[in-house]
Amino acid sequence: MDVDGHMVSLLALALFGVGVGFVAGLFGVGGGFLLTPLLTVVLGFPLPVAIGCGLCQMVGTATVSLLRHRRLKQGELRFDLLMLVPSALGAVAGARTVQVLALHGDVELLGRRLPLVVVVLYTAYIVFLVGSALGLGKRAKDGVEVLGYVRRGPLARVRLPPYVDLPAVPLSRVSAPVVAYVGLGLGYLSGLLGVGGGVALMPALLYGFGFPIRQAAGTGLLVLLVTSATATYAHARQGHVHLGAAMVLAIGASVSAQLGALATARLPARWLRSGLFLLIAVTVLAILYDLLRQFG
Amino acid sequence: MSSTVAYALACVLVPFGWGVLMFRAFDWWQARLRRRASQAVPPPIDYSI
Repeated sequence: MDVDGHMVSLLALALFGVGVGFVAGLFGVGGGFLLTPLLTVVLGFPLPVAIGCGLCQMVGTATVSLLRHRRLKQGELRFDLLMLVPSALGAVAGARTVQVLALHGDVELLGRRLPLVVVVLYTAYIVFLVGSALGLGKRAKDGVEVLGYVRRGPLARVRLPPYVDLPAVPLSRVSAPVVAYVGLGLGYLSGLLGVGGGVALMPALLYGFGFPIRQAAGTGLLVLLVTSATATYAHARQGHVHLGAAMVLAIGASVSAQLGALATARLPARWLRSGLFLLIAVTVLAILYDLLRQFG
Repeated sequence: MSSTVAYALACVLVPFGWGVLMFRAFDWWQARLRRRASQAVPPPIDYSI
């Protein structure tokens, strides 16, 4: 398959989709934070195209997750609705940033010329992945995932009117602008890095606002769908989405994600958390290796 | 790769349709498993005799 002038094996792409889908199902994450950098490092996709394809296949996975959680009546829809417009704006801004970086060309770094888009986005990935690992580590240390009650977090205590009540959580008098800014940041991350932002949103909901784990898991999925759809559209308009490649990934991932989710029940939580840390570490090392290779 | 409006809309609508299809398929599969499980249950014991 020809992806932006780069020949990619269809079988390798399908296997990649199956692998990432299984990992996503196993660890209960979207997988975007692994898929996009690894598409570039392992399969050699140009970075903007990897972001576009990652976002495009995410529209499918976000649709399934949203429909499933809506059926289970999990999540606070008001929170999603408050974040909706700012996150879509953030997604478009993120996609624009990628375009500007890609158009900027090369930059000289330590005597070598490297594409600016690679330097900035690889750095952002490493910061994002390390930050996510620290967030997950905090969750592991505090054992917050077993919390079934609401403990008002620092973001829920901000006094910035107008306020909104979130009866499904339940939380009252939460600042609507704070929720909107969280959505804006999430959308920007999604458009910039091609990630769903679930790994960033979960700590924000659990520790920032104090959501119980069940409500946190179901919240943000409507935003994820709208953000990934908006960012996909914006990237596709810039010629960064290869629909065929994205669908091969989506088909492989959608089947194996179910198997990964089934495997989760058979493995101890400690193994799962260690596995996720290991995966994040391998991704960071792969990015660093690719960066060093381009230096060499 | 194309960057027309129609192509960009297809990039959003095709994976969305795939997601809905997968949700329906998984639902159907779960319902089938439930139906099979209920059929596998032995009939209740008749204590009237």
